[in-house]
Amino acid sequence: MRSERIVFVFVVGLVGCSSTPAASPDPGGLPACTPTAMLNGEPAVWGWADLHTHPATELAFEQRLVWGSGLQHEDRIDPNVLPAIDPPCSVETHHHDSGSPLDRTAHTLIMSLLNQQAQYLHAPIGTVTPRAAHLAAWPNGRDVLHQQMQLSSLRRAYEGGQRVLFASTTDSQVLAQLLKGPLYPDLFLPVAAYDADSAMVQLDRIRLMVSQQSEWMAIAESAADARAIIQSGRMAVILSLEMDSLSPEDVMRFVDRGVRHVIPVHLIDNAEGGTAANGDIFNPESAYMSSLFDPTQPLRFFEVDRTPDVLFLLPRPLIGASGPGSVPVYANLEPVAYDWYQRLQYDDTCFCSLPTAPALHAWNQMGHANAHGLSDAGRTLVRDLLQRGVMVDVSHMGVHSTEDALCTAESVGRPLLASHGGVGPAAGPVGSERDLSHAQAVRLANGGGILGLGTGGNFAEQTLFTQSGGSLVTLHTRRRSSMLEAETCVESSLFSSSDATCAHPVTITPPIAGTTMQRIDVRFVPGAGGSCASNDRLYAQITLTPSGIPCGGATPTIVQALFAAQTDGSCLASVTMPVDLIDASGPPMCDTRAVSRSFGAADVCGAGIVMVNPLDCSGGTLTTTIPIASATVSVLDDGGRALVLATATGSPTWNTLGGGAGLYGRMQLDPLADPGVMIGIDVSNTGIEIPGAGPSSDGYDVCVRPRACHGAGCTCTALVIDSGQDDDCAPGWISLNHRGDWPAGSQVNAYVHLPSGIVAGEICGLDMVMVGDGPPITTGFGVVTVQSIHDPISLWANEYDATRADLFGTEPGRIAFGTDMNGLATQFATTLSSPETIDMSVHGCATSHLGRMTVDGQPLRLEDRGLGTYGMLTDVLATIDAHPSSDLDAATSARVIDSMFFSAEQTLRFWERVEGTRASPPVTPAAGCRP
Amino acid sequence: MPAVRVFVFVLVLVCASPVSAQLMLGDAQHRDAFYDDPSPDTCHAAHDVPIHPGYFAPIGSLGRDVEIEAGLGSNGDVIAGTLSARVIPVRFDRYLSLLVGASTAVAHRASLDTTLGSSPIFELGLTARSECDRWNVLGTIAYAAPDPTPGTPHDWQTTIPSVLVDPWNALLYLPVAGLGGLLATFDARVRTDGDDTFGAFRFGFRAGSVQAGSQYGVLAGFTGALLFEAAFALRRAWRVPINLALAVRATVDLSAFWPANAVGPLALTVPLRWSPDRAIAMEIWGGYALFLVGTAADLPKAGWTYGLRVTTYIDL
Repeated sequence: MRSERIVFVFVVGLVGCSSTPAASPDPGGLPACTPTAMLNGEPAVWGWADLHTHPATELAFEQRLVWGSGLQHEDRIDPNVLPAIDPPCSVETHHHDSGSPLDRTAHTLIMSLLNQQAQYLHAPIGTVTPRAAHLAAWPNGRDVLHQQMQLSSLRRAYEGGQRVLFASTTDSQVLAQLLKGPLYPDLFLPVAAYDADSAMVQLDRIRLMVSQQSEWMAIAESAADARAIIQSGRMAVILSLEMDSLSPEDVMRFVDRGVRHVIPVHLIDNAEGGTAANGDIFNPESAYMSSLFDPTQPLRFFEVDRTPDVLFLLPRPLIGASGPGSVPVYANLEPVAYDWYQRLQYDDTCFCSLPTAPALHAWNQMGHANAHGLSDAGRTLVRDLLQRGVMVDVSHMGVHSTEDALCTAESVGRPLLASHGGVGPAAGPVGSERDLSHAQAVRLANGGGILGLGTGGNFAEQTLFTQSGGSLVTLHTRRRSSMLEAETCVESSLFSSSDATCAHPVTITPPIAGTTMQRIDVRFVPGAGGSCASNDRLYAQITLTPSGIPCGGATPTIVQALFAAQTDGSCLASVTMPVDLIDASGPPMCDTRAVSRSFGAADVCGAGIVMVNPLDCSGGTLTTTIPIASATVSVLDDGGRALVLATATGSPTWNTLGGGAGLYGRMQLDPLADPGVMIGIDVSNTGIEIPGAGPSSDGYDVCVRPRACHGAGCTCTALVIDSGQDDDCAPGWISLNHRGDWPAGSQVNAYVHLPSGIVAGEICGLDMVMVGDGPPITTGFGVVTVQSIHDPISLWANEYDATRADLFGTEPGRIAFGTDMNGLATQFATTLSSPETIDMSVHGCATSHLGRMTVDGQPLRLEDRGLGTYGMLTDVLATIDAHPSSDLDAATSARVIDSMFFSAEQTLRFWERVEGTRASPPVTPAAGCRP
Repeated sequence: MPAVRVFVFVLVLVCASPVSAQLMLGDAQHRDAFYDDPSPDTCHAAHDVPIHPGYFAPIGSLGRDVEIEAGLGSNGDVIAGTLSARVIPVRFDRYLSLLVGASTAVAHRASLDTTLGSSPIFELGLTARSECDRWNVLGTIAYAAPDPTPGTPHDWQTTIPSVLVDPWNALLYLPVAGLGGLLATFDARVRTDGDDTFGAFRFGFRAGSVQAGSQYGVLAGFTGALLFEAAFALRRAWRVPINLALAVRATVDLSAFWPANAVGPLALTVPLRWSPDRAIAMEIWGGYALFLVGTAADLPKAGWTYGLRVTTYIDL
């Protein structure tokens, strides 16, 4: 599973969401085609590869997390028709008919948190609401909790050219325990056999699926197998393991049963080695599992090195409130004891642990990397696997583990792969260890390895404007039907409770009219208004003195700063927290007051900081005023900007806190060539939670309508945009994500395609209304943003092309998809436009002629749904091929398509190198490799 | 066991109070007149033998002013015990009486080394009887006091098999929290006529809402139960008092708290009762208990259950 940063999430449930279906008729394979193109002078098989998927995830996590089965009941496997999820799932719980408040609560907590992570609120799916609501809600690229790989969808990918599918298992024992609701024991005790049992079940399901569709797919146990399968017109399925805690012996037993791809280290430190320390959640998860590997420790959190190569910082870990080993129930978490946290030395190079302050901490001194490499057992396993012709994957390994794996592979002359993730910049740090460092990617490439590029995508978003702070917008609901039936829909008002009509909706305008802002980056952290004991990271704000700050100049400065500070272990009376850490009132630029809401290119005068929470801080929150002695702006190698701020070491205020400090920030100021617009809302802690859609309620929906000021002397007028969705908003309004649960801290947003002629920079306001069939409610939102976004598929293609050129020169095909589909990984959320029909011809072979995929007769478009179901990977490639966005030029498009349709062949050649039937490039173990 | 202490304390208060004493006992002359009122002719030799608790004459029957009951049962590795006391403080007339009571329970699950002690449940209600005790109905409202200790996963893992022991009293084993719980109970008994042998039937229904503590905080849910019992009583043989009763009893708990879609549990038991004296009844019982629907993961889903119960009556 691709590990994004997650709020500490552990919990959920779904029993009986999948049932054993009848065998679906095998629709038969397509005629084999030999491509006309040669690859490095040799014939090549045709098609593309996906190096990382999870077709049977619904069987993982005690079968209580992902709803829906990959197998189908339908009589016909139609690549254009996606069967609706059946049976429908319950919105809040993914649990059948549970009347137990224990189950409901446990599952709702997990569902909510996972959905928040994906920024996708679960909407009603199925029969509890009108069919239209079901179809508006699912499938969706950001929906991680429903099956995305039904057979129809796989078939569509196959007919769109897929010929290699890595079918992997996954699980999380800690999450699975929590999904069991109230019945797990007080102390979490990992079970050694759990992962093996879970993997066995999932592999059996994958085998069943393949056997039922044997006319067009088959399991490959060798590269020769795979080549023969593809040459017969079928898709080669490679069994894969991505488990947390399999022993080397377990892994080898699975290899005996046909597994040919292994990810030895997943989300936790295990017997094989250290994982990428990239997510807050995985630290306690690793600790809870650590007793399986190190019985001498009750809990062993990540041990880290500080490195200039990584930006990610681990926060103070959370554990169950009852002490070490107690179950990490979400509602019952607290940070580890402060002395324990200090022993972890997560901040050891910071001022925190030093009696006197270092003068400066540059941005590049801040990152955390797992201190553990591969164990001896892990290195032996990698060597044994390679020598048995099993593909070994460094995805999820920490920097040191990856280094050890590379050394081991180099010592035996076999290549490795990184199936899903990203590659760091050639110079400069990676965001976290989860991305392969550039140097290690080069070594992997030089050794004959291949890469899979994740399809989560990014937007390179730039905020057009934002409003924030407290209960920003007060909305009163009226019955949904009134909005649909009449234009006099819903009353609402900004900063007041008076009623209005649709003629006067809530309108949010940029705080500084006429300001051309290149970017505003705002991160609102829920919890700021709560007890500081509940969170070890609190955003505060600092005041910058004008002296030395490049205010008003042309130099771009920071948009986001990360600053570690710590008090002396107790709440200082002088420390108070601003209620609105992002000041909505907008003080004048370059004011000595704190400023952190709007950061234009030239007007940064403040920054958000993170404060390390003191122990036992029982009330209030934190802020302080920290005089800054100097500020330096530097241009980073990747084009970003870094701002390094230094406090005055002699500052009385700062001395109170114990030291000096460094700030860093980075930003990318690329011009937007062809942006879309994303409108988002953060539901703040100060807002009233909006009731979700349950079996007896349709919940509430927020509708938005952007305003634009177009042309000379323009006025800010509402845009009428057809969302193309059958939702609850009146025509011209856009639904912000359905009627699901809206817990505090949620983010909801929508992707808006502006009318022709309107550009993102002309957006001048946003109308909001709220509708619902439930009782009228009044609520508020903490942050409302409007951002320009790049087309994520164009960005992906550009990244693909640049990475391919960087690592592999002109050689195509050595980067494939690494979608991590069904692995709780969000996928492309939107695109500018996608083709109505697919009819691609590449290398002399053609895809099937495909129309839009539909569900219940409604077309699934990438621009509306994102990559919501696996078969739409075909649409992704067709979109790249059509390159409708000016962010993607024709030449790049052609190179990406050419390369992707060599990726199946390159995967086979890589496998042959692993097996030793094809020569690997000669490499020698790098200096510094352990013997 | 703070709960037991509270219970005993309350019981002592009630029983020791002069007001209560006055309410319960009245003066001896009045009491005798009260009990002597029904004529033997009307009630068909009802005075020939003691009125036996357990299979027909419950609290509220003539002379039944105080009932103290202790039970102990087991299912799997769980041992569950209950203690309850009911008092008739006021008799409005010969047929209608006020009832107050309190009960508590303790359960121990050996495999978890967990002991669960319930907070007391207080009940207030009315009991009505026919002139000759051929039927008797009891209606009460009970309040389950919250326990400040939150229900842990181990508590819940102890609660559920404890309820298998005694589904009728599930509320006693729930980790009540928050505002506590309210439970309405309707309990009706009827018997056939007969001197030496007769049949007795009992139907009970209870429903309410309770807040329970868990690792997720305080959660509200429905609680309730159904009870049906049929008994054959052998009161005398050859004019010798035997006072045995053999019954079949079905109780099903209707609470909404059981995880994993479990419905039930249902207990089918066979109690054998004996009243050697008017003031005491003893019962041993055994049977089988199971969840009707669903799978409660990691929990006993079905099993043999057995136990004993001792009831003493104080006729004032």
